[in-house]
Amino acid sequence: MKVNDQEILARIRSPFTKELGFRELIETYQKPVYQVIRRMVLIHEDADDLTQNTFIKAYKALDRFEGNSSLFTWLYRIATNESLTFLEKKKKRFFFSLDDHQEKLESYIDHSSSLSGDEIQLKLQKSLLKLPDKQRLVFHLKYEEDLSYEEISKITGTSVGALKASYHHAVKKIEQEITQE
Amino acid sequence: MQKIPKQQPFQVPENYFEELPEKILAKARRPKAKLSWTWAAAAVVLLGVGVWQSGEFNANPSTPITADDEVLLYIDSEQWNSEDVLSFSDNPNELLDQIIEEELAKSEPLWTEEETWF
Repeated sequence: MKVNDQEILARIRSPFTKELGFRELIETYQKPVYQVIRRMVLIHEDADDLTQNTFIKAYKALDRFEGNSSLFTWLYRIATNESLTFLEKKKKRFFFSLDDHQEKLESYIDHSSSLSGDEIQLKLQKSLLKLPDKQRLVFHLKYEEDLSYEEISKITGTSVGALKASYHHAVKKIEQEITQE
Repeated sequence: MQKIPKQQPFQVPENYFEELPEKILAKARRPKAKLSWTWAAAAVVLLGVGVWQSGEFNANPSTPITADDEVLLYIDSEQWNSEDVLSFSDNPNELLDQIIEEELAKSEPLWTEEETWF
């Protein structure tokens, strides 16, 4: 039986069923949350850490969840912020020359068995890596997850106009990249 | 648009999603460990270790120079760079994470309307 957001929230808010509710929250949303994070950070171990952090943060902040958006939107907001913060950290590290994260990701695309070996998929992954992180995120949410601009606007707190422009630029760049021989 | 293929879902290790809820619940149950050292404390340790390694801290006790001054002199004279200072620590990666964490906390929120998107 599939539980809905209201049931999950009601269970979490009762001291007797809090843990059951939290488990249901994780079981219901773990796959999309993991996938959206993984699309951004690529490496499973990183995505695993960030997925766990997302749910822990959600759990701790659930008392403040007002229900103005769906749990899905709210979790995605936490997950995307976690991913962007993580990538930002990695970039700052690169500045200190201890770790070139971009190179690591490119090498991961070439060698990981958890990515499809299909040539066009690898090309797509590599061209996505060339986009700025936030533009890449908008592309994923719109093109891969098929979310509406209004939903993405709630997740990112950004205007629909800015998102449309960002998406348009992302698509143009990727098209150019993958059609190049 | 038709030229862009849809991305395949990423593969995960076997039983990953079966085991993940319990892993997260176990973490949530765990009482929060207090942060054992802040960046300030870490900096003091770094500076101390750095000066001790330089072997010059007690060379001339009459000189009124502090450990901080001495480290800054090395940095200012470009004998040490940030990586050198970090490398004095046993766990530079952990330190770096901590510094970046604090810098990020002070910076602007990730999503702002004014930022450039292109």
